Amino acid sequence: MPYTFREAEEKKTGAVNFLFGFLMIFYILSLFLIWQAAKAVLFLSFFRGTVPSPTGVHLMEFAVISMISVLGAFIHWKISTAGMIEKVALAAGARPPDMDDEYHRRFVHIVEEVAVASGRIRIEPFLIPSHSLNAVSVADTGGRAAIGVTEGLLAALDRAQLTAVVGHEAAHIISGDSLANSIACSLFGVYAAMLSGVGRGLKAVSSTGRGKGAGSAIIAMIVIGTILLVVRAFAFLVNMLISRQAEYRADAAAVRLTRDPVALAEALYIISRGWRGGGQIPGGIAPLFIMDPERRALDERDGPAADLFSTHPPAEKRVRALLDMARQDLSILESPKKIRMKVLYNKGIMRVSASPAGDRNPGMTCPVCSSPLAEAFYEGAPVHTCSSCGGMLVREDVVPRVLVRDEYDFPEQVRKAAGVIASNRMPDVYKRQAKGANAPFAFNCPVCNGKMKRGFFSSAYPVEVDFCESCGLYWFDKEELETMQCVYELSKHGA
Amino acid sequence: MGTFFLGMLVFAGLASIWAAMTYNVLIRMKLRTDNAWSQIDVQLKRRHDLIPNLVETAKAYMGYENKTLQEVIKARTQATQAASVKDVASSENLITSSLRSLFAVVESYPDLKANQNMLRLQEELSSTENRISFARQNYNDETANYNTVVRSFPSNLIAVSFNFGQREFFEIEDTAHRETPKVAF
Repeated sequence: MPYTFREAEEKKTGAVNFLFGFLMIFYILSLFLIWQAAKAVLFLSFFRGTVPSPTGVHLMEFAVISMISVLGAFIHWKISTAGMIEKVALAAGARPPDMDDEYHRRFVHIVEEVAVASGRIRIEPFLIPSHSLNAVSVADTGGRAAIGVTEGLLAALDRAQLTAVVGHEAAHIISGDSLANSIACSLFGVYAAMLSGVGRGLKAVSSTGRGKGAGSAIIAMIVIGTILLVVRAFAFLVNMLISRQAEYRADAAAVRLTRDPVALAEALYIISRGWRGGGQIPGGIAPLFIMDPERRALDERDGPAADLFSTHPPAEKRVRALLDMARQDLSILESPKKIRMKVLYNKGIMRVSASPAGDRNPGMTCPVCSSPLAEAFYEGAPVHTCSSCGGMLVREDVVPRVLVRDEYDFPEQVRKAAGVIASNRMPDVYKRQAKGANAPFAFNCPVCNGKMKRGFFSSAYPVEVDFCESCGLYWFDKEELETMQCVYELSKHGA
Repeated sequence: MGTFFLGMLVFAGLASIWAAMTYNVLIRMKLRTDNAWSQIDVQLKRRHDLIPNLVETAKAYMGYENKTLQEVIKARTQATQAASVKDVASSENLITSSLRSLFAVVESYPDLKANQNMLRLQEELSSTENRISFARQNYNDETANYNTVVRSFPSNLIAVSFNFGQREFFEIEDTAHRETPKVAF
């Protein structure tokens, strides 16, 4: 067996030691350079003319620098490797799975299934609320491991494909790549990810604000920008240490776990064609993902330069290697039937289905017609529906999930309305009537009974909806949510 | 004479070190197959626990006397009594095939098919089915490794003297079931 437990453990400590060595050398070199520069400046200013030779280093100096470096590297290491899973999850904006959601539940099941296939590991599942297509694995030095997928991926892949992707991530965890990459990213990349978030916030402040606040924001921005530049440079160096071969190995090991090379090939094909989260997933943690979030030309190239600087191998080569295992070729992916191969596990059922506890009255009444609201599933996500007027109460965090799922076709009138909205986007109207403008006859929130605000959902989805700010709940009248879903679908296909 | 004895002594020493190491390897592999087997057991138990719920939900729509339903119940009872690897394998195959025919019958009851409880159970069962097949795959891999060491020379000398028997594979009846559940397009 290529991956016995012992082998994996040995490999893990090897990779970890290597990374620590790298960090130490980095500290020694940079401190040494700083010391030399400081010496040169001191001598220049105090003893004009007698510039010391930069190569003349005393043993004592070297010993002190080394000691400080080891200490610095050790502290940096300790801080960076503590709570790695939480930090990466924070950088990716991750959330725990919602067990009331059918898609999330299926994902949690799949993670457990793959854990059984591996025979030994425990994996925590998490979700990234983004409609991009990507998956990620993280592991820490304490033996914990987690696998995350984006909402978009959950909606786009069928069960077999999702199992294959989770298998790929589990293979990274078993082989120890995940731990090494997590540490490598935690040393610099995670900080870069966090700082760039702060930087973006300050930029927004300085561009809109006036006076003193904006001034100090600009100064803070310059400082952060400098730190960011340095940290990014080192994150780039660390990326060079991350082998792209690991991705091929994980693909192969995933097949050994789930025995379904075609499903993994299909999944990679779908991910490679979709938006992988570039611009949303921070570059500092990109090496942890199944495919590089940024679409970089280097990733799709071969040769020593690409091998050195790129963290992910060409998608086409990966897909071909997998299809070879099943003695298939690319033609099976490109037939039109296969591209829309999403399996509707709820196929044939009405869009809205009653939940197992559907009879239980949650004690809320419809803000429109005052009939009791019932717990239900819409596109597999938990919602509350009114059976008499067809309205729907949806939690704020559930709306984006529903948008990316497309289990059913839309009625003609919804398609028409969405077509109008998608084609002109109504930017002027949106500006005039921003969310928060009170409609004359506001509904009462079914939970807190406060006034709901009526306005556009967002500038990207200019559909009028009702929103309760204190409860974070949206009320959609009949077909409003469907229209938004349809707008999403139309904009995705560039209509 | 002295060197001969010394040689014998060294040889005997090396041989016993090798014997001890081989013994430890065998023990470790045996424990791993045991562990893999208990993994299967856990998943089978999970399926046995799900079946009564499934039967409860289904009988409201198709009636308790339905033949396929009865078969599922019978297969479950039989499976809970199985002991040896072979018995467990054959009775579990029976459950798998009876569940398959039950789900085929469910297709003809639109109300039952749309029942959220049924959908959730179906998801639970297909997940359990996958877990069983993954656990079985893991057990068979471990068993194959173990059996190779038990049968190959010279480790078989140790295996025979310390009663390391071969393990049985967890077989499934036909190759169609061997694949991970794939959905037809």
